[in-house]
Amino acid sequence: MPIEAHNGPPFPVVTDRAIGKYIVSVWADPDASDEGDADGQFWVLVKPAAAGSPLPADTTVQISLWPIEHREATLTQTARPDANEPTRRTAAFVIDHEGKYGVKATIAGVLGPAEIEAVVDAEYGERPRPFLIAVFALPFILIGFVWAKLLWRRWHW
Amino acid sequence: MYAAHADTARSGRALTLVERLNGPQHELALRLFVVIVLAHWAEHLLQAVQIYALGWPVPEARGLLGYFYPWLITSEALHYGYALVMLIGLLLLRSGFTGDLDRRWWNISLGIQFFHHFEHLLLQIQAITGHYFFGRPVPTSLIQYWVPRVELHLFYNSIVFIPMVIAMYYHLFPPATETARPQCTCAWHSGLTARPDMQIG
Repeated sequence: MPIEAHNGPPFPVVTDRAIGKYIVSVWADPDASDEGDADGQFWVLVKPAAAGSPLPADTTVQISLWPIEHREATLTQTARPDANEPTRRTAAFVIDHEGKYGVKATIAGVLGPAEIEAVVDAEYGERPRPFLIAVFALPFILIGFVWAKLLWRRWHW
Repeated sequence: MYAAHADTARSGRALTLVERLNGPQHELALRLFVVIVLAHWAEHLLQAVQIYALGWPVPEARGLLGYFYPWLITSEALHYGYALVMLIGLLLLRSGFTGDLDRRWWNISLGIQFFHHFEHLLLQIQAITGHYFFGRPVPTSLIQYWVPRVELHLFYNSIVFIPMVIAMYYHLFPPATETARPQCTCAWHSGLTARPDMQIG
């Protein structure tokens, strides 16, 4: 797994919601890409509602994604279980434009079916938010101030 | 350190690289370090200008380096490499900060940068073991727990940069109460103190 420490981390869309016989969390990192990269990542964490019981091995999770205004363009993938933690399932989609997307997790298995939907905002991972321009400019202002004061002092002594 | 340099000078032993960088060449080394730091910020500023002022599509707005080497913009190695350069620079130039205040602020900056690397270590450990902190689906740093979806790269660089600038300010303009003698030429009056007709108070 690549460690993208500087990329926007995933954020929770749904947290520990009881659905059917499951407790479900959905996390998203919906980065758009113009280069066909599957940067839109989603995770579904599924635990049995009965505390202490393991998740049955035949439990499957499908994740569906669609632009909010085009439900007919739904893409669906079977989420892969994590090698270390089978309750954690993940799927990655190519998101070719920014905007709102619907996401649905469909769970099936011996504990019964369950579904949950949510809406996420996809955006390019590299887009800095406008207020960050002030953050980017601050170092130049601070160093400029120190530098100007140094020159001023040395010239006027 | 100053005493050590003075002893070295008296003994006629050549200064080591670290001693030179924190002594006669501290001013030059510090300036080069600041140029590297500002070049990094300039890349982020340029990317924002490309997007918001020039109206470039986000995937095309990659700063200057990314314009010529597009793969760099998504390279984790580049970001981590820069963090490493920051850590090495802060460590290497530390002993040249001989005052109380400038040393204190430089240490704060160094400490934060060290913690930044500790966070990277935690991410590596999580990736290797497959057990992620706080029940999250991916390796998660400690700061992410308190500040969700923070742009960590900028966050860390900002909180490292600000104490670094304060340290430099006190280094260049030492308060009158500062008793430690500098071993470099960074302070604004360093060239003037050599003149016997001048008194700097």
